[in-house]
Amino acid sequence: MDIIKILSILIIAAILAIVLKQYKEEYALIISVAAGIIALLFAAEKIISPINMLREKIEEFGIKSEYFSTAIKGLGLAYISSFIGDICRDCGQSSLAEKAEIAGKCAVFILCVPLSLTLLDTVLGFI
Amino acid sequence: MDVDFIFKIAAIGIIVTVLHQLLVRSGREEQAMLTTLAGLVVVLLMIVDAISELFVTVKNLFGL
Repeated sequence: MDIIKILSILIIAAILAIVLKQYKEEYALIISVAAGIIALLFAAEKIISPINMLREKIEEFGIKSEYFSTAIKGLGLAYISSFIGDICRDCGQSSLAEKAEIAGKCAVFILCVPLSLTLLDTVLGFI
Repeated sequence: MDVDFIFKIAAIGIIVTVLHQLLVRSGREEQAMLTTLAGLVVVLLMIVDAISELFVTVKNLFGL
């Protein structure tokens, strides 16, 4: 049921944005940012319990939790950088949106380098 | 941080627009401009507060 609540909030915000777009352009944008933030906060809260369940299950298997936390960090980075990129695209600044996306990709890449190094070590260990 | 947040911003936007038209019609263009800027500053402060809350939540949640 909660997802319905959020979708209705987003529809209302979209309609309000159109109403305000004729008079003041910036308010329409600020309303869309506010609705985006509410939707993201809602989604972020909903995502907590599955992540914890996964983390416990993975620790049971004896896999180092550092791998899983790296994956979750990558998810968070992608989550935020696409959010900010879309806001910049709404503002009409598509170049800024690309910069935000590139920054997010670099951050995720930096996150994954140590992981891939350990992978290479283990693979070399087999040969 | 829920539905009323959006309605607050929309209400401020509409009020500022009405005031702007009112002041422009009565011949006070500069005060109309100042009112618009004031309304924008108020709304921006609210949005900055919401964005910081979002970033803190995501940072804690994803362990960034």
